[in-house]
Amino acid sequence: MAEVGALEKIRSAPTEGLSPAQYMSLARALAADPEAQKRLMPVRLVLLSTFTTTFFEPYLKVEAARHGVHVDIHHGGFNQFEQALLGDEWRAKDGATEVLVVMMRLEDIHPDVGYRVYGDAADDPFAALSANVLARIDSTLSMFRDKSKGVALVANFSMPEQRLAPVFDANQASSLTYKVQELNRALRERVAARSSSHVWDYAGLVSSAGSARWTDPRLWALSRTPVSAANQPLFARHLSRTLRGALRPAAKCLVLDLDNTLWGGVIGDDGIGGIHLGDEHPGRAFKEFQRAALGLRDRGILLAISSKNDEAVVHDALANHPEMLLKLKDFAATRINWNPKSKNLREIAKELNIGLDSLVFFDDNPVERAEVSESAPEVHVVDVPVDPANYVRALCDLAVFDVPTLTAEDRLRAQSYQAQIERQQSEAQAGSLDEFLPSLQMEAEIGAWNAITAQRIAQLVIKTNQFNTTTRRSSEAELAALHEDGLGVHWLRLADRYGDMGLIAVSVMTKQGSDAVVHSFVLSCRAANRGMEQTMLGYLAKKAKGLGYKRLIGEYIPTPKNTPVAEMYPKLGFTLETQEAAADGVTRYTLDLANDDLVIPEFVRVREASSP
Amino acid sequence: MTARGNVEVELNQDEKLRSVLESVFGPDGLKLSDDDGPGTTPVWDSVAHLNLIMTIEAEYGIAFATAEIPELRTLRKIRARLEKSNG
Repeated sequence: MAEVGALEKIRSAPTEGLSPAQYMSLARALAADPEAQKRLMPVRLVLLSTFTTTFFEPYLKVEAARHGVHVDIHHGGFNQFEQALLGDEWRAKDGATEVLVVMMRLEDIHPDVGYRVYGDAADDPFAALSANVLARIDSTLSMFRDKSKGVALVANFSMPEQRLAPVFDANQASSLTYKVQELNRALRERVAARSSSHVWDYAGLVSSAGSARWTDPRLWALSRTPVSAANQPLFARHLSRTLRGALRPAAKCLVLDLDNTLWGGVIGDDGIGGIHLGDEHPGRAFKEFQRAALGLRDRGILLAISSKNDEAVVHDALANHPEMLLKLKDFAATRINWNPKSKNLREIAKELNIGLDSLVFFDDNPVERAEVSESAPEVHVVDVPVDPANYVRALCDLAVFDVPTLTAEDRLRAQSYQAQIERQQSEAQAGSLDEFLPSLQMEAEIGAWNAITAQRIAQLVIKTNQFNTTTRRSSEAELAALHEDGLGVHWLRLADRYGDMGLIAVSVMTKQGSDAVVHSFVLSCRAANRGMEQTMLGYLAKKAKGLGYKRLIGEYIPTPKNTPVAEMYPKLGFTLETQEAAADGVTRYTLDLANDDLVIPEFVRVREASSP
Repeated sequence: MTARGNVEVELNQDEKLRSVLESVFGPDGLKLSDDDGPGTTPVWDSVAHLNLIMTIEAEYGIAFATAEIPELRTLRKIRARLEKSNG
C-alpha cells in the first residue's frame, strides 16, 4: 500500500487542538503500521495508579510517538502497586526499555484529605498519610528494581481538587498547601536516592493546566479517570515529554538566526540604531528571547549563529548595542555569511564536534526553515511562531533540551567551550601535537563508579555518539550492576592549564575467564585528541594485569557515527582477533598483557581518586 | 427550509456519526446496527462507551448529564438523543 505512513500522519497533525476522534484514529493508524513503530524507541510502559488509566491509551500512543517513543502499555489495575509487580505479565518482551510510572493522588488514598485541619502535632493526620504514601512508593520502587534495570517515574502530588478552605489556606503555617509541598520535597529526596528514577511533575502539569477544570466529575464518577477528555492530550504530552527526557539524549546546541529572531528589523537595512531591542514594545519580546537563550546557555546548551548578514555589522551590534544581552563570546560558533543555512549548520556541527541531530535551529523565516528541513533533515527545526511575543514559549516547549538532572559539567560547558577555543588557538600556534600536548599540563584523575559520579557517568554513556566504542546505552541501574559484577566502571576527570573539563571519559570492564574485556569506552568529544584513550586504556591494562588477567580485550561495534574510534584499538597496539566479523556484530581486539606494553602517556599526570 | 435542504442535513448528520463511530471502533464501527450498544459486541466495552460519549460531546459541542451516559445503551437511543439536541 502506498499510503502515508502513520508517523507522517502524526507528525503533520497540529500539536494543539486534536479531537478525541483524531487521537483514536491516529493511534489506530500507528497500531496498523509496524514499519512506523520500528522507527520509534520501544518502551514497555507500566502504569500503576490509584485511578483508572485505560482511557489514556490512544493519547499516550500518539503523544509518545511525537516524542520518538513507541509505548506498549501495561495497565496495572486500579489501586495495585506492589501486587501488580508480583507476576511477570508487565515485563517487556523483545528488548523494549521498561518504564514504571507510579501515580498516586492523595484524595484517592485518604478521601478526607481536603477536608481536615492540619497542624504541627506529632499525631497530625497528614504525618500518617505522608508516611503511608512514601512507604508504598518505596516498596513499589524496590520491587521494580529487583526485577528491572529500567527507568522509574514517580508522579508528585497535586493539590487535592476538592478543598474546604481554598482561599485562606496559604495563610496558615501548617495548612494543606504547605503539607503537600513538604511531601513533594520528601518524595524528591526518596526518588533521587535511587538509580534511574525521576519525579514526574504531575503537580506542575495540573497547576499549569488549571486544577479547577482538570477533572471531569462525570468521567470520574463513571470510570475513576481523574483527567477530563479535554485534558487527556495534555496529560499524555507531559508524560511523553518526561519519558523522552529520561530515555533519549538531549540536543546540544541552539543555532539562532539574527534579524527578526534576536532583534526586530533587519540590521543591514535599519542599522544598529534602527533595530528593535529593549524593554518596551516592539523590542521587549526580542530582549526576553535573548534572556531565555542565555538561560539555556547556563544549562549547558551551546549557542551558535547562522545568519545572512555582513559579519562586521553583526559584530558591531553584538559589541555596542546597549540593550544587547548576548555577546559574541556567548556563541560557541558563528556563521555569518550568504551561504545556504544547511551548509552553515553542517559546518557548525563539525566545528563543535557534535552530530547534526544535536542541533536545534531557530529562525523566523519559514523559507530558511524549509531549506534546512529539506537539506539537513537530521536538524531539529523549531516551528517558530509568527508573533515574536511567543518566541520564549516556543523555547520552553522544546522537549529536545530536557535532561532529568543538570550535572556540574552541564553548568560549566559554555565556559569550557570558551577554554576550548583558547586551546585551539594555542594548538594552532604550536608546531605539532607532540609539542602542544605537553604544553597543556594535563592532570587526569581516575576513579571507580560511585553514587556521586553515577548520574554524570550515565549521562555520558547515553549521549556520546562519536567517541563510543560499542554504543551500549547502559542505564544508571545497569551501570551500577556492571560495576558490581565486573572489573569496574571507571571514570576520568581532566584538567589542564585552561581549566577543569570535568568528568570526560568512562570505561566499563568486565571479565571472561582469564580475559579482561573493555565492554564500553566513551569519551566526550571536547577531550578528543588529548591522549585520553591511551591514558584510560593504559590504566585499565595495568589494573587487569595486577589482578592476574592474561589478556585485555577491546570490543568495537561500528555505527554510522563512531568512526572516530574505528582505529582506536589497533593504534593503541591491540591486534585484531579474527578478520571475520563475529556473529554478534562485535569486533574484538586483543592486548597480551604479559608482552605488550600499553602505558599512560608521559604528558599526562594521573592520580587515582581515593575510594568512596 | 426546503425538503431538499432537510435531506442534506440528515445525510450530513449521518455521515458525522459514522465518522465518530469509525474513529472510536475502527472499521467495525461502520457495521454496527441500531440495536448495538455496550456489551452487544466485543468492540463496544465500557471504556469504548465512554470514549464514544466523550467523542460525540467534542464533535457535536454538547454535554450529557452523568445519569444520561449509562442510559444511552443503543445506537438508536444515541441517534434519538442527538436529534433532540439538534432541536
